[in-house]
Amino acid sequence: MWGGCVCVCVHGTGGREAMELALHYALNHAPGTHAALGLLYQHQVFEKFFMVLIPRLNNKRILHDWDLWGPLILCVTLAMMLRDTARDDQKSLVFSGVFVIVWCGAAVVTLNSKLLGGTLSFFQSVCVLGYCLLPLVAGTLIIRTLALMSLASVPVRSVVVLLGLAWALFASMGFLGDSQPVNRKALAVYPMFLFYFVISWLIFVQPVSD
Amino acid sequence: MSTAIDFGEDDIPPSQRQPSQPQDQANMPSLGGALSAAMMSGLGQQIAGNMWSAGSEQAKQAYGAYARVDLLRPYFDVEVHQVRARLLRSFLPTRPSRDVDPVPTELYGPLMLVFSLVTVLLFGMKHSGTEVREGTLMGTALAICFGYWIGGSSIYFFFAYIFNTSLSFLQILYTTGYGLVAYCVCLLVATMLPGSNAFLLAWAVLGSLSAAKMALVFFSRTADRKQGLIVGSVVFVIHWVYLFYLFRAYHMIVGPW
Repeated sequence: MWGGCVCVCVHGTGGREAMELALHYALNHAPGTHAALGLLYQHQVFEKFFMVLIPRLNNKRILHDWDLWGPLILCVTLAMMLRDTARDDQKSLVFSGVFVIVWCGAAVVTLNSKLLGGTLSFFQSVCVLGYCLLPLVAGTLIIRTLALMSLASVPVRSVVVLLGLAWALFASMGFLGDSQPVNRKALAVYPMFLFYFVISWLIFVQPVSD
Repeated sequence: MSTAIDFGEDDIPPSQRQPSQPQDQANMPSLGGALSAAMMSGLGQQIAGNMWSAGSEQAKQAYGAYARVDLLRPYFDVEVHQVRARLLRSFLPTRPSRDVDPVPTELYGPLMLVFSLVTVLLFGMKHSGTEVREGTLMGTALAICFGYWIGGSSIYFFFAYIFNTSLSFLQILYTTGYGLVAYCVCLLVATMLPGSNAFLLAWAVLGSLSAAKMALVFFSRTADRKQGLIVGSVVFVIHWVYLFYLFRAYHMIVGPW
């Protein structure tokens, strides 16, 4: 159903209609999810996901109506997926490690951006960095799916992860690029690159059967 | 009588309460107790209020002093071309003039280099199959890199203090931080070309150049030449050998040697 929503959006019907369709479906078929979905819908979490997936459509609304629900969902999803594939004695370490990397990394990148003269507030920046994890989370999901079909070879994983990394960087630059002084934009992008690179690398090295 | 009855009520503030009339002799003990209780209560409240306001004021001052990023902003006041030039200059062991070339106190480059080294080290550790018994590779890499940057700088600062080198701790942090460029490059070479002697070559050339640059900074800032030579040698040896240690300890895929 969610995949259908994405297809509708990509083929031009628009993200908002697709989201409403998805929400309507979820509320009618799983009433228990009312409260959670209502909360996410109230904070326009799904809309922000689409803004990240299709960066050219962004209208900076993500900056004005920032929230941490989306980043939390993505972080938990990523941590759970990487935890699943980790060795038995490292499952909890991987789960907590992903949490620490995502939140501490976002905090460090944001602080660096502020110190370089960025105009965004702390939580706006953390929100954007968190939402822009979506391509990498999607990449992880794709790799897991390919692994089920024994297709997750190293080259395939490399391509998926690199694509996710480029997408995440492109999307985050679309939101955060204007908030930096022109002569320091590269200095603000570099830690952002390191942040997404480390997460991409964690996704790449997860033990999956190819 | 009504005065005596109303006196002990809580709704009258202590400051507005009047002393009892002398004709109410029968009520004096209870009145005195109520008065002292009211005074104690008012005094306690006032002391508590004063303590609260003083504490909150101190907390605000502490927050204002330590939580403002403005305090750190001067150390991040740098532009792209300056960072690029400093990265390149970290390999050029020219002796800086004591008066003309002041050592900057910028921290953006060093901090990013430490994070880059963490990434490179992590990459190499995973690539070579390094096992960490307690903890994670990420935690180990962070501890190693920040440990060297801050711990190494502290050791250099100690020697600088002993040998009268006129460098502040921030200047030493800057110098050590930019010295990590060679670490990143050499360890990246070791990871990309495992089992070859490429690391040795990079260590011999780039590692030496970087260590020599650091040693010259310390040497040029020491008044006495002999002492400058000692502190420069110490810095050179520590910086150069630690790179080799990182390679041997965390890049287990080694060549035929």
